[in-house]
Amino acid sequence: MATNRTDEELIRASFTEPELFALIFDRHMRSVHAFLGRRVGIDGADSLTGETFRIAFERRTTYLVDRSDSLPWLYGIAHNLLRHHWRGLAREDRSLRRLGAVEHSDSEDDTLLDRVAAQAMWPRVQEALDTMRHEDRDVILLVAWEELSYAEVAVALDVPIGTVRSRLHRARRHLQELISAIGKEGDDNPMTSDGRCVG
Amino acid sequence: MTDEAEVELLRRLRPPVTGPDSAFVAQERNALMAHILRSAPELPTTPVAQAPRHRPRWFLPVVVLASATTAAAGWAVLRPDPKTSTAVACGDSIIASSTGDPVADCSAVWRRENGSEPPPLVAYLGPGGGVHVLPAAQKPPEGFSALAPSFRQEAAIIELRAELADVSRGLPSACFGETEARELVAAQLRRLGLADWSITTRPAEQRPATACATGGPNYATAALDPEHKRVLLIPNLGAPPPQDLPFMKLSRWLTEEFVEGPRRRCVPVDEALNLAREQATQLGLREEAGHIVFIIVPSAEPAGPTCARPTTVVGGTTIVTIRAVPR
Repeated sequence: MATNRTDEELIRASFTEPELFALIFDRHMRSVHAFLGRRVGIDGADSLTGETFRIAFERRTTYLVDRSDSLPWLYGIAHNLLRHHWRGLAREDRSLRRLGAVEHSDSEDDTLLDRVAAQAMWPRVQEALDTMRHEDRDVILLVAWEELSYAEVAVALDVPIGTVRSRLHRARRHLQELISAIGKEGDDNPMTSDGRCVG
Repeated sequence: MTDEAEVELLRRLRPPVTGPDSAFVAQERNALMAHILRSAPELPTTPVAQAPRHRPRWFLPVVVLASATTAAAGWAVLRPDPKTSTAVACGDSIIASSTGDPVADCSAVWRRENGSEPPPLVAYLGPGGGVHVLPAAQKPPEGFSALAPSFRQEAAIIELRAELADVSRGLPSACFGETEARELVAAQLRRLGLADWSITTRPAEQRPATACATGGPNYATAALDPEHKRVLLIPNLGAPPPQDLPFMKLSRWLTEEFVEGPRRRCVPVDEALNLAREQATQLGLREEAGHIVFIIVPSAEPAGPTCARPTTVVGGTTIVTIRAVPR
């Protein structure tokens, strides 16, 4: 059964049976669409998702055979499309702010208090994300929002894993500075010892 | 604050995304399938070696989109003999061969994409049998061996691939049953002096295929196998592109104007290029927007009388190749 095959096996098989590549689409389309939606909104995701898979199909011979999960590779293609997409936009239109407020966190173990606190911080976090180097932002969002490992981020961004670590370190420091600043602003938004805002 | 605190905070702030509805998913899947089936056929069973990291990025992504569709068939014939391959890797972009001279083909892409003259280029034979072109100043990866400057890929096989993939008169142009597909391929083999090639079909039961009006499967794809001098016809799912799309209208116009039918005329390639550009503009296909790319292939025997013969293939971009063929 083709559906039991790993991504690697399917992509290899698609060299001689191109239609099998559609199963890669079936497996990962929603994840790629969500990844794009979190960065450019649903309209942008709708227009870029198909292109991501068309390019992936064309470039399937460049897929390395030692990776059983093709999602980081697909994120890498989508990420390149995003860069081209953004290049044509004004800075304001590239901002994460245009995505609007966060309505909820999908983490099941969040308490209501956690969620309210995090939402209150969202405008400042957006600002921090918008002002950090885009290379650093790409890494921290792939780790935090797409839950990729460092190795997977390295695949997606086509950079060495050491570069992932250093970019993530910079991105964290940037956010840390912001969070510390918020903590010093007064009692309206006191912080817990692990940096969370509790009020 | 722990090392993970910032990441954890961001996780909590992950924007919710409404998933696409099933109609959108189906529409995108169909579009991908149509693309796959138009793109055709078979690739080598081993992936191309990854290019070295930090390689120079020669070409804009549009080139990959534009070219890889037609190059897919080319990789199918790369391994045994580079002369019979129909694709070239220009840096990290695979393109369909046009002239048979890999350096000339990659130089043309460079000029088109960068608007400048390319640096000195060298053609190499890769370890997988593929033809690669790299700047002369760049050290080739291990396993690459330089090809002689006189190296040429076989023009007849390149043209066969282009004719069979033409959207208005090749295999993707209609639903071809086995008999009709064989006739079409045989006519091209005769025209191109490849009469000693054979035509075989892959049985439809090995893969799903759209049924034509005759009831038989649609043979919309051909893989070239120069080692055994044969064309393998492959049944496919999918249907020909809608006739009212601009690239289809352009391709039909080019075929009727320069290839077959009562209006057919013999003109030099430069004149055909100008006419094709005018027609493309009228149809809203703009070169500067990346909608369309024109490629000119001069005659291998410039002394003899020639006529322009265009072929049109479509990937992310419409590629019109206008060859000078003997009158």
